[in-house]
Amino acid sequence: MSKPDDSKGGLEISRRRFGLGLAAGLGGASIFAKLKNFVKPHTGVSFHEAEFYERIPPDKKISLIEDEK
Amino acid sequence: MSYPAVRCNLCPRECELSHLERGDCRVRINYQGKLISLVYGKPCAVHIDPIEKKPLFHFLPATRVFSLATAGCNLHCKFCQNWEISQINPEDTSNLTLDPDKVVRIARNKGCQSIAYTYSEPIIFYEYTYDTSVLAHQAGLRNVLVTAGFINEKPLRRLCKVADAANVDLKSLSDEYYQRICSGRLKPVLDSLKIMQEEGVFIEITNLIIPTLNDDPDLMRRMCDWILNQLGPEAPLHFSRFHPQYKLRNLPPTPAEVLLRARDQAMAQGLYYVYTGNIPGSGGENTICPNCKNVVIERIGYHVPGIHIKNGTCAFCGEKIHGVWS
Repeated sequence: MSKPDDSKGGLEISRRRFGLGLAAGLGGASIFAKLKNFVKPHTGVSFHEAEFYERIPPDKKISLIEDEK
Repeated sequence: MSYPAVRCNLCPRECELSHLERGDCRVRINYQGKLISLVYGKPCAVHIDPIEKKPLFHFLPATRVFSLATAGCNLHCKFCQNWEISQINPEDTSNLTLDPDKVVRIARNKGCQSIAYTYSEPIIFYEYTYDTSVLAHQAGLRNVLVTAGFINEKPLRRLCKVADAANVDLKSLSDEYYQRICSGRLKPVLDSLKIMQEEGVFIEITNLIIPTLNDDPDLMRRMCDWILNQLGPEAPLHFSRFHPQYKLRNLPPTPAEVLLRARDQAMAQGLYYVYTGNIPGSGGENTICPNCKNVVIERIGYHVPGIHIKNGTCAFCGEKIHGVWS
Protein backbone atom coordinates (compact mmCIF):
# COMPACT_ATOMS: atom_id res chain seq x y z
CA MET A 1 0.00 0.00 0.00
CA SER A 2 1.41 3.33 -0.94
CA LYS A 3 1.80 5.94 1.71
CA PRO A 4 1.30 9.63 1.31
CA ASP A 5 4.34 11.83 1.45
CA ASP A 6 4.66 14.14 4.35
CA SER A 7 4.58 17.49 2.64
CA LYS A 8 0.94 16.75 2.18
CA GLY A 9 0.75 15.82 5.72
CA GLY A 10 1.68 12.31 4.77
CA LEU A 11 2.65 11.19 8.21
CA GLU A 12 0.02 8.63 8.87
CA ILE A 13 -0.56 8.51 12.54
CA SER A 14 -1.77 5.02 13.18
CA ARG A 15 -2.05 5.61 16.89
CA ARG A 16 -0.53 7.71 19.54
CA ARG A 17 1.46 5.53 21.81
CA PHE A 18 3.80 6.48 24.55
CA GLY A 19 3.54 10.06 23.53
CA LEU A 20 4.61 9.65 19.95
CA GLY A 21 2.59 9.51 16.80
CA LEU A 22 4.04 6.50 15.11
CA ALA A 23 4.49 6.85 11.39
CA ALA A 24 3.61 4.10 9.05
CA GLY A 25 5.51 3.70 5.86
CA LEU A 26 9.01 2.95 4.74
CA GLY A 27 11.62 4.74 6.71
CA GLY A 28 9.13 5.80 9.28
CA ALA A 29 10.39 3.46 11.92
CA SER A 30 9.77 4.90 15.32
CA ILE A 31 12.81 5.69 17.33
CA PHE A 32 10.77 5.98 20.45
CA ALA A 33 12.39 2.95 21.99
CA LYS A 34 15.70 4.74 21.77
CA LEU A 35 14.35 8.16 22.52
CA LYS A 36 12.83 7.12 25.78
CA ASN A 37 16.34 6.69 27.06
CA PHE A 38 16.80 10.40 26.58
CA VAL A 39 13.46 11.97 27.22
CA LYS A 40 10.31 11.35 29.12
CA PRO A 41 7.13 11.57 27.04
CA HIS A 42 4.23 13.41 28.54
CA THR A 43 1.47 15.76 27.66
CA GLY A 44 2.39 19.34 28.22
CA VAL A 45 3.23 22.63 26.71
CA SER A 46 6.10 25.02 27.15
CA PHE A 47 6.10 28.70 27.84
CA HIS A 48 8.64 30.40 25.62
CA GLU A 49 8.41 34.03 24.60
CA ALA A 50 7.82 34.24 20.88
CA GLU A 51 9.43 36.55 18.37
CA PHE A 52 7.80 38.75 15.77
CA TYR A 53 4.99 40.38 17.64
CA GLU A 54 4.06 43.82 18.82
CA ARG A 55 1.84 45.23 21.50
CA ILE A 56 -1.29 46.96 20.32
CA PRO A 57 -1.87 50.41 21.82
CA PRO A 58 -4.68 50.27 24.39
CA ASP A 59 -6.77 52.83 22.51
CA LYS A 60 -7.04 50.49 19.54
CA LYS A 61 -10.01 48.25 20.13
CA ILE A 62 -9.89 44.68 18.98
CA SER A 63 -12.99 42.60 18.83
CA LEU A 64 -11.82 39.49 20.55
CA ILE A 65 -12.31 37.90 23.92
CA GLU A 66 -12.55 40.11 26.93
CA ASP A 67 -9.52 40.54 29.15
CA GLU A 68 -9.60 38.87 32.47
CA LYS A 69 -10.13 41.33 35.27
CA MET B 1 -6.04 43.91 35.72
CA SER B 2 -5.98 44.57 32.02
CA TYR B 3 -3.09 43.43 29.86
CA PRO B 4 -2.09 44.73 26.46
CA ALA B 5 -3.27 43.03 23.32
CA VAL B 6 -0.61 41.88 20.88
CA ARG B 7 -0.37 41.40 17.16
CA CYS B 8 1.56 38.37 15.95
CA ASN B 9 3.62 39.30 12.88
CA LEU B 10 4.82 35.84 12.07
CA CYS B 11 2.38 34.92 9.34
CA PRO B 12 0.06 36.84 7.04
CA ARG B 13 -2.88 36.30 9.36
CA GLU B 14 -1.36 38.75 11.84
CA CYS B 15 -3.68 37.63 14.60
CA GLU B 16 -4.57 40.27 17.18
CA LEU B 17 -4.85 38.65 20.54
CA SER B 18 -6.17 39.72 23.90
CA HIS B 19 -4.82 38.29 27.11
CA LEU B 20 -5.14 34.49 27.13
CA GLU B 21 -6.30 34.35 23.55
CA ARG B 22 -4.38 32.19 21.14
CA GLY B 23 -3.69 32.63 17.47
CA ASP B 24 -5.23 30.83 14.57
CA CYS B 25 -2.27 28.44 14.64
CA ARG B 26 -3.31 27.24 18.12
CA VAL B 27 0.20 27.42 19.54
CA ARG B 28 0.90 31.13 20.12
CA ILE B 29 -0.90 32.83 22.94
CA ASN B 30 -1.02 36.27 24.49
CA TYR B 31 -0.15 35.90 28.12
CA GLN B 32 -0.09 39.13 30.09
CA GLY B 33 0.87 41.16 27.06
CA LYS B 34 3.60 38.83 25.85
CA LEU B 35 3.28 36.48 22.92
CA ILE B 36 4.16 33.00 24.09
CA SER B 37 4.95 29.87 22.08
CA LEU B 38 3.42 26.82 23.70
CA VAL B 39 5.40 24.31 21.67
CA TYR B 40 9.04 25.30 22.01
CA GLY B 41 10.90 22.05 22.63
CA LYS B 42 7.64 20.10 22.66
CA PRO B 43 7.40 17.98 19.50
CA CYS B 44 4.51 15.56 19.22
CA ALA B 45 6.02 13.57 16.34
CA VAL B 46 9.63 12.54 15.98
CA HIS B 47 10.99 10.09 13.43
CA ILE B 48 13.94 9.28 11.26
CA ASP B 49 12.88 9.32 7.63
CA PRO B 50 14.53 8.93 4.27
CA ILE B 51 15.00 12.38 2.75
CA GLU B 52 12.93 11.15 -0.21
CA LYS B 53 9.88 11.14 2.04
CA LYS B 54 9.89 14.93 2.47
CA PRO B 55 9.95 14.76 -0.61
CA LEU B 56 13.39 16.08 -1.54
CA PHE B 57 14.84 14.32 -4.56
CA HIS B 58 17.73 16.66 -5.32
CA PHE B 59 19.08 17.15 -1.83
CA LEU B 60 21.44 14.61 -0.27
CA PRO B 61 19.67 11.61 -1.81
CA ALA B 62 19.49 8.34 0.09
CA THR B 63 20.31 9.98 3.41
CA ARG B 64 18.45 9.90 6.69
CA VAL B 65 16.76 12.97 8.07
CA PHE B 66 15.73 13.49 11.66
CA SER B 67 12.16 14.76 11.40
CA LEU B 68 10.00 16.45 13.97
CA ALA B 69 6.78 18.37 14.35
CA THR B 70 4.74 20.08 16.99
CA ALA B 71 0.99 20.41 17.11
CA GLY B 72 -0.70 23.23 15.22
CA CYS B 73 -0.78 24.85 11.80
CA ASN B 74 -1.60 28.26 10.39
CA LEU B 75 -3.56 26.76 7.50
CA HIS B 76 -6.61 24.52 7.74
CA CYS B 77 -6.58 22.43 4.62
CA LYS B 78 -9.62 20.25 4.29
CA PHE B 79 -7.47 17.46 2.90
CA CYS B 80 -4.78 17.54 5.58
CA GLN B 81 -3.34 14.09 6.14
CA ASN B 82 -1.79 15.08 9.43
CA TRP B 83 -4.87 16.74 10.82
CA GLU B 84 -4.57 14.74 14.01
CA ILE B 85 -1.60 16.87 14.96
CA SER B 86 -2.00 19.97 12.81
CA GLN B 87 -5.59 20.82 13.70
CA ILE B 88 -5.34 20.30 17.42
CA ASN B 89 -4.13 22.26 20.41
CA PRO B 90 -0.71 21.35 21.78
CA GLU B 91 -2.13 20.50 25.18
CA ASP B 92 -4.20 17.79 23.48
CA THR B 93 -1.26 15.97 21.93
CA SER B 94 1.27 13.85 23.73
CA ASN B 95 4.50 15.75 23.57
CA LEU B 96 8.10 15.04 24.20
CA THR B 97 10.43 17.40 25.94
CA LEU B 98 13.18 17.75 23.38
CA ASP B 99 15.23 20.90 23.55
CA PRO B 100 17.17 22.02 20.47
CA ASP B 101 20.52 20.74 21.74
CA LYS B 102 19.00 17.35 22.40
CA VAL B 103 17.48 17.21 18.91
CA VAL B 104 20.86 17.88 17.38
CA ARG B 105 22.64 15.39 19.60
CA ILE B 106 20.19 12.60 18.80
CA ALA B 107 20.22 13.41 15.09
CA ARG B 108 24.00 13.14 15.01
CA ASN B 109 24.06 9.97 17.06
CA LYS B 110 21.56 8.40 14.68
CA GLY B 111 23.67 9.17 11.64
CA CYS B 112 21.32 11.73 10.15
CA GLN B 113 22.77 14.35 7.83
CA SER B 114 19.92 16.77 8.25
CA ILE B 115 17.00 17.78 10.42
CA ALA B 116 13.56 18.31 8.92
CA TYR B 117 10.93 20.54 10.44
CA THR B 118 7.94 18.91 8.92
CA TYR B 119 4.65 16.96 9.24
CA SER B 120 2.62 19.91 10.54
CA GLU B 121 4.05 23.38 9.79
CA PRO B 122 7.49 24.59 10.92
CA ILE B 123 6.44 28.21 10.64
CA ILE B 124 4.21 27.97 13.67
CA PHE B 125 6.99 26.56 15.82
CA TYR B 126 9.30 29.18 14.43
CA GLU B 127 11.49 29.80 17.48
CA TYR B 128 12.05 26.09 18.01
CA THR B 129 12.86 25.61 14.33
CA TYR B 130 15.26 28.55 14.29
CA ASP B 131 17.15 27.74 17.48
CA THR B 132 17.49 24.08 16.53
CA SER B 133 18.68 25.05 13.06
CA VAL B 134 21.41 27.27 14.45
CA LEU B 135 22.72 24.45 16.62
CA ALA B 136 22.38 21.98 13.75
CA HIS B 137 24.62 24.09 11.56
CA GLN B 138 27.19 24.32 14.32
CA ALA B 139 27.15 20.52 14.46
CA GLY B 140 27.54 20.17 10.69
CA LEU B 141 23.95 19.15 10.00
CA ARG B 142 21.69 20.65 7.34
CA ASN B 143 18.19 21.99 7.89
CA VAL B 144 15.12 21.18 5.84
CA LEU B 145 11.77 22.94 5.96
CA VAL B 146 8.66 21.18 4.74
CA THR B 147 6.24 24.03 4.66
CA ALA B 148 3.26 25.65 3.04
CA GLY B 149 5.21 28.90 2.92
CA PHE B 150 2.48 30.97 4.55
CA ILE B 151 4.77 33.33 6.43
CA ASN B 152 5.62 37.02 6.47
CA GLU B 153 8.74 38.27 4.76
CA LYS B 154 10.79 39.39 7.75
CA PRO B 155 10.66 36.15 9.72
CA LEU B 156 11.11 34.16 6.53
CA ARG B 157 14.29 35.97 5.54
CA ARG B 158 15.72 35.35 8.99
CA LEU B 159 14.80 31.67 8.85
CA CYS B 160 16.37 31.36 5.40
CA LYS B 161 19.76 32.20 6.92
CA VAL B 162 19.75 28.83 8.67
CA ALA B 163 17.67 26.77 6.22
CA ASP B 164 19.42 24.72 3.57
CA ALA B 165 16.50 23.23 1.68
CA ALA B 166 12.75 23.42 1.59
CA ASN B 167 9.91 21.54 0.08
CA VAL B 168 7.18 24.09 -0.36
CA ASP B 169 3.63 22.95 -0.81
CA LEU B 170 2.16 25.00 -3.63
CA LYS B 171 -1.41 23.88 -3.30
CA SER B 172 -2.77 25.58 -6.40
CA LEU B 173 -2.29 28.72 -8.40
CA SER B 174 -5.82 29.76 -7.50
CA ASP B 175 -6.33 32.21 -4.67
CA GLU B 176 -9.95 31.10 -4.47
CA TYR B 177 -8.73 27.54 -3.82
CA TYR B 178 -6.43 28.73 -1.08
CA GLN B 179 -9.24 30.63 0.60
CA ARG B 180 -11.95 28.01 0.22
CA ILE B 181 -9.99 24.80 0.81
CA CYS B 182 -7.07 25.91 2.95
CA SER B 183 -8.20 29.07 4.73
CA GLY B 184 -5.18 30.81 3.31
CA ARG B 185 -4.09 33.06 0.49
CA LEU B 186 -1.97 32.42 -2.57
CA LYS B 187 0.18 35.54 -2.86
CA PRO B 188 2.15 35.14 0.39
CA VAL B 189 3.08 31.62 -0.69
CA LEU B 190 4.31 32.77 -4.09
CA ASP B 191 6.25 35.55 -2.39
CA SER B 192 7.82 33.03 -0.02
CA LEU B 193 8.98 30.87 -2.89
CA LYS B 194 10.71 33.82 -4.53
CA ILE B 195 12.27 34.94 -1.26
CA MET B 196 13.60 31.48 -0.48
CA GLN B 197 15.18 31.24 -3.90
CA GLU B 198 16.64 34.70 -3.54
CA GLU B 199 18.09 33.79 -0.14
CA GLY B 200 19.75 30.68 -1.52
CA VAL B 201 17.54 28.02 0.01
CA PHE B 202 17.34 24.96 -2.22
CA ILE B 203 13.69 24.55 -3.17
CA GLU B 204 11.53 21.74 -4.38
CA ILE B 205 7.80 22.16 -4.87
CA THR B 206 4.95 19.79 -4.20
CA ASN B 207 1.49 20.07 -5.67
CA LEU B 208 -1.17 17.76 -4.33
CA ILE B 209 -3.65 17.05 -7.09
CA ILE B 210 -7.16 16.57 -5.78
CA PRO B 211 -9.87 15.31 -8.13
CA THR B 212 -12.39 18.03 -9.06
CA LEU B 213 -10.72 20.69 -6.91
CA ASN B 214 -7.40 21.58 -8.51
CA ASP B 215 -6.94 19.11 -11.34
CA ASP B 216 -7.97 21.47 -14.09
CA PRO B 217 -5.28 21.17 -16.80
CA ASP B 218 -5.35 24.90 -17.51
CA LEU B 219 -4.81 25.72 -13.84
CA MET B 220 -1.91 23.30 -13.70
CA ARG B 221 -0.48 24.74 -16.87
CA ARG B 222 -0.53 28.21 -15.32
CA MET B 223 1.14 26.92 -12.21
CA CYS B 224 3.94 25.34 -14.22
CA ASP B 225 4.34 28.56 -16.16
CA TRP B 226 4.72 30.46 -12.92
CA ILE B 227 7.37 28.05 -11.67
CA LEU B 228 9.17 28.17 -14.99
CA ASN B 229 9.19 31.95 -15.18
CA GLN B 230 9.81 32.77 -11.53
CA LEU B 231 12.03 29.93 -10.30
CA GLY B 232 13.43 28.51 -13.52
CA PRO B 233 13.22 25.20 -15.37
CA GLU B 234 15.48 23.42 -12.90
CA ALA B 235 13.08 23.75 -9.94
CA PRO B 236 11.97 20.19 -9.08
CA LEU B 237 8.21 19.73 -9.01
CA HIS B 238 6.37 16.83 -7.37
CA PHE B 239 2.79 16.03 -8.31
CA SER B 240 1.42 14.11 -5.40
CA ARG B 241 -1.50 11.76 -5.18
CA PHE B 242 -4.41 12.64 -2.95
CA HIS B 243 -5.77 10.11 -0.48
CA PRO B 244 -9.21 10.80 1.03
CA GLN B 245 -8.62 12.30 4.44
CA TYR B 246 -10.01 14.62 7.07
CA LYS B 247 -12.85 16.66 5.59
CA LEU B 248 -12.48 15.41 2.05
CA ARG B 249 -13.30 11.76 2.51
CA ASN B 250 -16.00 12.08 -0.11
CA LEU B 251 -13.50 12.43 -2.94
CA PRO B 252 -11.69 9.54 -4.60
CA PRO B 253 -7.91 9.13 -4.69
CA THR B 254 -6.27 10.85 -7.62
CA PRO B 255 -6.12 8.48 -10.59
CA ALA B 256 -2.53 7.61 -11.46
CA GLU B 257 -3.05 8.66 -15.06
CA VAL B 258 -3.92 12.21 -13.95
CA LEU B 259 -0.57 12.51 -12.21
CA LEU B 260 1.33 11.02 -15.10
CA ARG B 261 -0.42 13.33 -17.52
CA ALA B 262 0.38 16.33 -15.34
CA ARG B 263 4.01 15.28 -15.29
CA ASP B 264 4.14 14.94 -19.06
CA GLN B 265 2.52 18.32 -19.51
CA ALA B 266 4.87 20.05 -17.06
CA MET B 267 7.92 18.59 -18.78
CA ALA B 268 6.52 19.59 -22.16
CA GLN B 269 6.22 23.14 -20.84
CA GLY B 270 9.92 23.13 -20.07
CA LEU B 271 10.39 21.98 -16.48
CA TYR B 272 13.35 19.59 -16.26
CA TYR B 273 12.58 17.62 -13.13
CA VAL B 274 8.98 16.61 -12.57
CA TYR B 275 7.90 13.71 -10.39
CA THR B 276 4.82 11.82 -9.39
CA GLY B 277 4.38 11.01 -5.72
CA ASN B 278 2.53 8.23 -3.93
CA ILE B 279 2.38 5.95 -6.95
CA PRO B 280 5.54 3.87 -6.49
CA GLY B 281 6.81 1.95 -9.44
CA SER B 282 5.29 4.25 -12.05
CA GLY B 283 8.69 5.48 -13.19
CA GLY B 284 7.64 8.98 -12.29
CA GLU B 285 10.01 8.97 -9.35
CA ASN B 286 13.21 8.70 -11.35
CA THR B 287 15.43 11.68 -12.03
CA ILE B 288 16.15 11.95 -15.72
CA CYS B 289 19.05 13.89 -17.19
CA PRO B 290 17.56 16.79 -19.14
CA ASN B 291 20.27 16.41 -21.78
CA CYS B 292 20.81 12.71 -22.54
CA LYS B 293 17.53 11.48 -20.99
CA ASN B 294 19.23 8.69 -19.04
CA VAL B 295 17.99 7.91 -15.54
CA VAL B 296 20.50 9.47 -13.17
CA ILE B 297 18.71 8.60 -9.94
CA GLU B 298 16.54 5.50 -9.75
CA ARG B 299 13.84 5.40 -7.10
CA ILE B 300 11.23 2.90 -6.04
CA GLY B 301 9.15 4.51 -3.35
CA TYR B 302 11.68 5.78 -0.84
CA HIS B 303 14.27 3.26 -1.95
CA VAL B 304 17.11 4.57 -4.08
CA PRO B 305 18.73 1.64 -5.89
CA GLY B 306 20.95 3.72 -8.15
CA ILE B 307 22.60 7.13 -8.26
CA HIS B 308 24.48 8.00 -11.43
CA ILE B 309 25.63 11.48 -10.58
CA LYS B 310 29.30 12.37 -10.30
CA ASN B 311 30.34 15.71 -8.88
CA GLY B 312 26.89 17.09 -9.52
CA THR B 313 26.84 16.02 -13.15
CA CYS B 314 25.22 13.24 -15.15
CA ALA B 315 27.50 10.18 -15.15
CA PHE B 316 26.49 9.48 -18.75
CA CYS B 317 26.90 12.84 -20.49
CA GLY B 318 28.35 15.28 -17.97
CA GLU B 319 25.31 17.57 -17.88
CA LYS B 320 24.98 19.50 -14.63
CA ILE B 321 22.13 18.16 -12.50
CA HIS B 322 20.51 20.76 -10.29
CA GLY B 323 20.77 19.88 -6.63
CA VAL B 324 22.80 19.57 -3.44
CA TRP B 325 24.62 16.30 -3.72
CA SER B 326 27.12 16.35 -0.87
